Amino acid sequence: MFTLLHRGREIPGVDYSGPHPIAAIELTEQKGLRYLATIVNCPNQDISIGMPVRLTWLDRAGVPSPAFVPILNTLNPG
Amino acid sequence: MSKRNPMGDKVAIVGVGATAYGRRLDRSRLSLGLEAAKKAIRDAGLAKEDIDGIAGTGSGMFAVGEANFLALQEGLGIREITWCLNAEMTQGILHAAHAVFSGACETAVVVHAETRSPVLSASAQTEPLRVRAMEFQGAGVRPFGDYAQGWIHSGEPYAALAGRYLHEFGVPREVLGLIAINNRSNAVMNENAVLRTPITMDDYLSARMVRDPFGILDMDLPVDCGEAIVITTEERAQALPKKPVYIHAATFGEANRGTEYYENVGDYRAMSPWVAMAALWGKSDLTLDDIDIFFPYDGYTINAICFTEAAGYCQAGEAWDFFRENWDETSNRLKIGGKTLVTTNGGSLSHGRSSGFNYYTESVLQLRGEAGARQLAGCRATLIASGSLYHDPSVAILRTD
Repeated sequence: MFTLLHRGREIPGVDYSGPHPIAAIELTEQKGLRYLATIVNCPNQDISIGMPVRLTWLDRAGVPSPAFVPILNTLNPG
Repeated sequence: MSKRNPMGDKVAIVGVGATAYGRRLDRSRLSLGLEAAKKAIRDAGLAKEDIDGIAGTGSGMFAVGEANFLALQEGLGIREITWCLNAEMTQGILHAAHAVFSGACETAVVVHAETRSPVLSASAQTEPLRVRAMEFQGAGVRPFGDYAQGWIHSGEPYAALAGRYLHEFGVPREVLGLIAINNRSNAVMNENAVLRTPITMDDYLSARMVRDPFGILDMDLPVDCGEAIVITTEERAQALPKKPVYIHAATFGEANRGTEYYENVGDYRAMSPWVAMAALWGKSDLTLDDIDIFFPYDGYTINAICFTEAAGYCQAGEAWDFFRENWDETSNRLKIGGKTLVTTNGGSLSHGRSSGFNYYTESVLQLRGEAGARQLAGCRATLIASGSLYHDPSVAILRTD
C-alpha cells in the first residue's frame, strides 16, 4: 500500500510539492515483513500496488535514507 | 470471545452536556470539559454531590493539559469519589459503565475535551498558544510512526489503507465520498455543527488532495469542544426526570497487528472493527433491523466504510454497492432499508472532531426525542461503532423502553 503526501511534517530533503510518495514495501525474502520508504525514479501515476521494486539509498541532507526503485519489466519478466 | 452480558440494560445514560463546537474558541481543555460536565450533571437532574466517579480525558494519571479527573474533581468541587480514570476516545464511557455495574461507584460523569491541536491541524501549527499547549499535553498522546520516512499516525497509514481498499475491491473513491456527503447532509440540520454547507460528489472529488486518496473532505474537522455523559444504575435512572437510555450491549475490541510499526498492515480484514463488532453481536439479541441510527466512526471516511462492513450491513468490499442501493436522493443521505439513518449529527467530519463522543450525545437526544429539527420519529435503538481501525474500538448499542 502507498499514499501520495501533498503536505506533511518537515523532514530534511523531503519535498511535498511532487507530491511525495511513501509506500509499505514487502520483502520478497520474507512475506509479511514490510518497510516504509519513498519510491524514486518513477512518476507518481505509475506507482501501483504489487509493483516489484529494489532497494537504493538517498542522501538526505547528508544522512543516508533507504528508498526503492521500480524493477524494469525487462529485468523481471515473471 | 465472551458472549456474557450481565450488564445488559442494567446501566443507563441519564445526562448529556456539550459545549459549542468551534475552530477557535480559545479555551483550555479543562474549561471546555468543566462546562460540559456541569451541563450533563444538570441535564440528569442531579447535583455534584451525587457524582462519585469521574472519567477524564487523556493518558496517564495526571494527563497534563487535559480535562483529567484530578482537575475535573477540583473544578467541579466534588469532595469525594471512589472511581476515577483518564481515557482516550470513547473508551471511558464503557469503563464507567463497568464501574457503575460493578459497584465501584453509583453515578459517574465521563468527560471528553479537545482543542484544535497542531498534531491534527496544519493551521494550528502557526498559532503559538496552541503549539505551546501541545508541548505541555501528556506524554503518550503524541502521534507515532516512522518519523524519518514521514509515515506518521495519524493520517498516512489510513490513507494508504484506503488506497489499498479501493485497489483490492476495485471500487472508486466515490465510496468514500458518499460518507462525506451523508454526514454533511445531516450536519445541515444540526445548528451546532461547524460545517453546514451541503456538498455534492463534484465538491468531494474536487476538494484539495492531502494524502492520496484522501482529500480534505475525507478527514475529520479538528475543533475546540467539550462533551460529557452521566451514567448510573438502572434503579437510579428510573427515579430521574429524563427518560433513561440503556446501554444494551457494549464492548471493546482489539486485533493483533504485531508490535513494530503496527500501522504497516495492509490486511483490511485484520482491523479492530471486525473484532469489536463480532463481540458486540455476541452479547445482543438485537439485529441490524432493530437499529434506527447507525454511527460508524468517521475520523476518516475509510473508518466508516470498515465499521459498516464489520457491522454486517454488507460483506467486506461491498459498501460501494450497498451505499448506492440505500441512498435517499431526496435528502442526499443514506437511509438504510428505507429507515435507518447514519450519523444524524454530522459526526466528526462535519459536526466536529470529538473522537466519537458526539455519537453518544446525539444518540441520547434522539432516543429521548429531544433532537429537534433532525429528530428521527420513533427512534428506539442506536448502534455506535466508535474507534480507530488500529486502536481503541468501543462499540455499543443504546436503547430506550
